Amino acid sequence: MKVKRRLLSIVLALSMVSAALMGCGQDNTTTPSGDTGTSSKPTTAVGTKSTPTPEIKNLEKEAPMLAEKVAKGELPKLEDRIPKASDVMVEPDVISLGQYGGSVKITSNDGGRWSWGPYTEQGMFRFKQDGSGEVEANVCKNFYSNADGSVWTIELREGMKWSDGEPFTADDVIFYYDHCSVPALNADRTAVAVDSPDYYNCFTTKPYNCYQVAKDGKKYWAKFDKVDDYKFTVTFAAPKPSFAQEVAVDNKWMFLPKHFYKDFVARKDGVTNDPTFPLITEEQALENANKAFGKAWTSYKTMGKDVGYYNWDYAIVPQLRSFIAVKDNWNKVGETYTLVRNPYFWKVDSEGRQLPYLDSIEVLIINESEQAVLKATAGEIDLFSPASADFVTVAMATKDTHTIYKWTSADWGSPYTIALNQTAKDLDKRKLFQDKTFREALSIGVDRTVLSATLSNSEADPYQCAVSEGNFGYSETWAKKWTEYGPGRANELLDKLTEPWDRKEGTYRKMKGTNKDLEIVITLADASQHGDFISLITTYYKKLGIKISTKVDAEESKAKLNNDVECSIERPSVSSPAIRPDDIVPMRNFKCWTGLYGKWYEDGKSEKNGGIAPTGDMLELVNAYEAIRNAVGPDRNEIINENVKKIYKLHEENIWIIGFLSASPSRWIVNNKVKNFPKTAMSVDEFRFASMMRPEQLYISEQ
Amino acid sequence: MNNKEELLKSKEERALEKKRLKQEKYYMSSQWQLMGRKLLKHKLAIFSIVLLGILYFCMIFSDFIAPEDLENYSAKYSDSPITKIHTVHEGKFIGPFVYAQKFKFNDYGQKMYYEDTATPHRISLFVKGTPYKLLGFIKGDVHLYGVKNEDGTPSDVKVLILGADNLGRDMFSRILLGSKVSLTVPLLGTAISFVLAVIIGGVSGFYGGIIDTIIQRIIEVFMSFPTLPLWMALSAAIPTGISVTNVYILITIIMSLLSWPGLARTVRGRFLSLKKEDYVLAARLAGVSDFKIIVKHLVPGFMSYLIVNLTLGIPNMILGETSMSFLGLGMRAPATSWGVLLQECKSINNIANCPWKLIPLVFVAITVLAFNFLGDGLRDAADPYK
Amino acid sequence: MSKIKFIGKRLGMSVITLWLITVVVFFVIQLPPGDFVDYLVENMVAEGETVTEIEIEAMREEYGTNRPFFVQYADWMKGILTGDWGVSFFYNQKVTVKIGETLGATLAVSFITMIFTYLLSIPIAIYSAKHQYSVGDYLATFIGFIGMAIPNFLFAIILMFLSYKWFGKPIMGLPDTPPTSWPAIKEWIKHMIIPIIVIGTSGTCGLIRSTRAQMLDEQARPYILSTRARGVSEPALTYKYAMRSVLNPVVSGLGGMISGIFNGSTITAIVLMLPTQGPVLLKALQSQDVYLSGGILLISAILVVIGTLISDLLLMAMDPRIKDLEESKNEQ
Repeated sequence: MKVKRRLLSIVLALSMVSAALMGCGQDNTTTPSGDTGTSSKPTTAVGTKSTPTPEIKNLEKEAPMLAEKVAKGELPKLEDRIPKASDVMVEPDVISLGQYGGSVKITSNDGGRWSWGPYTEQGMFRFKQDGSGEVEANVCKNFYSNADGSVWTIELREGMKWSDGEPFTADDVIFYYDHCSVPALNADRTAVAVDSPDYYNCFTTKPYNCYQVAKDGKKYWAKFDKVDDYKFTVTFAAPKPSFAQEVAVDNKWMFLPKHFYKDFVARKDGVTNDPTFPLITEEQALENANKAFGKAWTSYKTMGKDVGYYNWDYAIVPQLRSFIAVKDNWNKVGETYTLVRNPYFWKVDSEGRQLPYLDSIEVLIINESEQAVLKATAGEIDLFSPASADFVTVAMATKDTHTIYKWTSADWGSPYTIALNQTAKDLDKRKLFQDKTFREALSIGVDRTVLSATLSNSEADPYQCAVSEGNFGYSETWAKKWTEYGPGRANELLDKLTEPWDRKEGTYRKMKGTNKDLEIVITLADASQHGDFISLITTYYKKLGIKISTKVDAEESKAKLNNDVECSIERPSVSSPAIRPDDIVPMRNFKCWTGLYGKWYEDGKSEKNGGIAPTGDMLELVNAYEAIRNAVGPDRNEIINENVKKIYKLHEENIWIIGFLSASPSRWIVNNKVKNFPKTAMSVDEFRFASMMRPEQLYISEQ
Repeated sequence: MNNKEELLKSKEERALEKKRLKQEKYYMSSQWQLMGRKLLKHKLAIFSIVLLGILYFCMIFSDFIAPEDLENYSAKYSDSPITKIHTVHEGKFIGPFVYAQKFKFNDYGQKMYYEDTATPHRISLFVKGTPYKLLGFIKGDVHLYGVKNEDGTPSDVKVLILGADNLGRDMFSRILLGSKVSLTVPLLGTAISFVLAVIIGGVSGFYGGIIDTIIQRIIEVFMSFPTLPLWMALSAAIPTGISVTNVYILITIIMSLLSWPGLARTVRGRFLSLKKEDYVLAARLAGVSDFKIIVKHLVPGFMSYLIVNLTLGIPNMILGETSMSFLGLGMRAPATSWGVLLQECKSINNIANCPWKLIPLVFVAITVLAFNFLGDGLRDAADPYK
Repeated sequence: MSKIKFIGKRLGMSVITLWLITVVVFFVIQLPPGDFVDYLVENMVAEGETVTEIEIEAMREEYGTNRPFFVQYADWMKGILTGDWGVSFFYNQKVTVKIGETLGATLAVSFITMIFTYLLSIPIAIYSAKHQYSVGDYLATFIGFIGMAIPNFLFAIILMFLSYKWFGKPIMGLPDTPPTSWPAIKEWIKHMIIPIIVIGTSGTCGLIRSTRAQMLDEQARPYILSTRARGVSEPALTYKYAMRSVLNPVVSGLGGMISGIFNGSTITAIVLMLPTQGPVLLKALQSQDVYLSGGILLISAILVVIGTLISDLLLMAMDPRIKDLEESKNEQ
């Protein structure tokens, strides 16, 4: 039996590889897993994999708590709960075989769906644990595309079930795509204009870019077609070579349980003549949802976003996740939000034992950071990722019971940055901010050694806003550019840029040709942020005749949208622009430094809604990014690599965001009884943070 | 002998005379003198007056007393504990001095400070340092104490009698300079609410009738409203990018807007009972104007009462300022107030590793208690004939 | 007869006050710039969504936040009067349901801390009045005042840290289980200690002061002197006038007290992670969830008004000399 299982897993692994090879063999067919510039970067090997530990009793194939239920007849047998043997996922990232039982405690705030979500999240595709930036099959069994990447085929696992025992099939994917995540479409699959009477938004309210391709200045939505219950195709109007990666970053899920949602989703356009999905009105859908969820939504739209987009907020929604909620108390501060193992979870270890090993994940809902730190200090939190200021306190207090793990950070230096809006509303300021020498003056006008000692406990080095050491794209000259303290030179540079300044105490430079003080207003979302950093730079810049003031705006992101922010403290955190470009390429106007250039790109490269067409190096960024997105053919990897480097080079050249200190590693303080915690991984949003530890393979052992 | 007797007698007489005079003085003395006399009995109140006197004195001369300003950041002294003051170096007494602080890191990256006992640094008085303007107009650059180099220039060795914050600034200086905000906002705020209370409460009590009813309703509305949303609403109304002084003034106004209704009610109550007094009626019959009656006859009649209430209102304002800072609604760095300092020290980190950062709390507590005891003393003394 | 007339007049006044409060409440919570839609958009943008002006306008239309102030107010008032307090934008739950959720914990914490406040402050007040200007007087009042002198938020954090230092386990929040069994009760007691100390001691100051002042007043009254002259024992005497002194501030503070029970101490509750009304109110205010914050504030305002009304009537019953109700509130 055991041998058979192992054989099966080998066969399975082989079949995946062969699919990949097949792709390479048939000339020009792209490989199933994504391939980006980052793949060339060697990463530290992840801990030893799947070595059977002799102490663990391998007899039990499922958790005792489930076996008990099976015995009582409350739950089907294991074989009937997980996909059939050839389709079950043998989790490759199991570090060592574990034992069943136990739970781990983590913390989150009361709006923390994105912080506890990744612990249980299961995307259609997922990024590999090695930080290479490649994606692999997760919920799906296999995926591949045709030669130019315009048609993708995705295979699902037969026998896979939702957490309520209903089968998971291609219908769930197509239902989700057609009825929940696509807005009103025209016949040619372009979206209906927002102001048209026929317009309606997606049920989940978020139109994903990963399902759209641009062709001739228009965006076309992909078409999903069911082949059979376990296979479907995605067809694009133009090549979409990075589809899988984009889904992993952008949408991640690509499915919702149709049998559950059909009562809450209303369609107006008669897209469906599916007898299993009767047409209902929005009012009916809303009423059904309020009844089923015990809520009082007043609009269909809000309900759709809540139950569709944030579906894992609600315990009653069937999931494919590893752990599922028992009670919707995630927004009640002080309570413990418990996520228990999904009895239908579809992954097994190399011995065919169902994952997860843990019985549950307990999320302590805490809003005030002091409370979380205190709990962690007392050793009550099993997995804790402290802010750098709190690290020493927690680490010292728990040194006998916890171990520190350092994960790689994708941050471009420390959070202390100054991002000047390149399209600031004030035209005099805009001119100044666009001037490279002005940015140089700002950068060298601050003594980074003082910043390091005071803000980072002397841990960080003077650093520019640049790729962290050890990551792909790191360059020492970039990291150290303009980091030497030089107030003399800074003043010289500024003298050329402003009206003459007599350096009298309490006065500031006047901007060229004006009588206005040279003032930089930093917008903060909340007054408690970065107080020390602002105190320090205020003093340094006062010496240069530059006035720093702050503006607290809880609606900071919206202000950025309206180009009302002239300076912000924002730091890019990306594994690679090929995977996640929007922090470092002007694609959207949600970053201060890109300002209206982002708006221009977002509006389909048009200035009609107030966007500004970029020029020079800013335009080069956009071009390089487009080259990455459109790269097809045998040279795809090279083109991507080249353009990623180009984007980095442009940033090095211009320093649009001024950074001060190096990034601190992403640290975890982990209870010693929690086993299988990966020694290294990259902690970044697109890799889904905690998801990288593969929480389903963590286990508890007192040894 | 005779002489002596005479002397004794005269002494007795003089004592008697003295007593008589004293009694006469007692009966002749004004209400204020009587209050003062009664107040002296309340030892704690007297002690509080002395304490507050010291605090306010230090506040006025804070620029001079504080060894440094608010922007004297230092990489060497970040989170430094309280500097030990020594007198004996290598077995020799050389007067008060300090050693320079050095640090190393332990395995977990915690800074461990130790003294560099190689060279002693004498503490000198009247050291040249950062320039300042005392009370806003007296220019100076001499500070009460500090360490100077051989050539008389200020040394970068710090004497941190209350430790340093994480930016390496002297906590003692920050507390003193912060008191410029924290000790004056309540006074100014009280003054504003006093004026409001006297006018509104006075009008309400003096005229009565429909005006009284309306004003009473308004006061009731104000008083039944929880302070939190009011704070938030009013603070959100503080425009951005305005100077520290303006933020200061606005905070003061917010504090006083929240405290006038209670005072106004007290004023009104006193007006109601006083206006029935015969002397007010007499004044009115004599054709004295309303305004004059209020100012000349009524206000002095309950001044003592009002002062008690005002004194007791001050601690609430001090605490209000700290609460506003906690919610991120008060002064913003680098400007400093006690509220800002308390807000900074609330992290578990500081409580566990840098307990000296909690010292501002002692200052706040002492000031609040002192004002309370003073208010109590004044209250006990307010009815001096009892 | 005149009493009934006064009571009627007083009731009428209360209704006017209440109406005024509804206007002010609704105005104040809308005072900060922006509305709930801005809060939503902020979150959407922060989560990486793209939002256009047209969509924002549509959302405003949907939530009705683009209507003029008085239209929104009238709508809200109509709902309040007909028992429909609206739906919380943030929680998507009926306002009344959401308020009901935290009511139990709020009442429990408030009552317990209130009892503690009385138990601590009344003996201190009696003692310090009987021994005016003695060392004991100073010491007792000092203890009674100290809780008020330390800002609650910091006091709470320090005590939480000390609970960790001393017991190895930080005490915060309230237990998950209701206090029905003995171990659960013990757990509750443990978790109530810090709130009791922080919230309880912050209220002792005022109570000690007014009770002590009343006692001193009462002590010097001729009737007390004559009773004492008749040889009534000192404890019996103290009991008699102390009762009066204690009752008076308790009764006149009824308005604030009742609403305090409902509101809890917002900041302390946040710091101590207490699942009371306070943190919900803060969240509602921050997210501009007008119906929820309006509902909470309205209830607390109603309670103040009712409390004041009851206290006025009680004061009148207790002291027949008070004829004009407005005059009864001369002094605090």
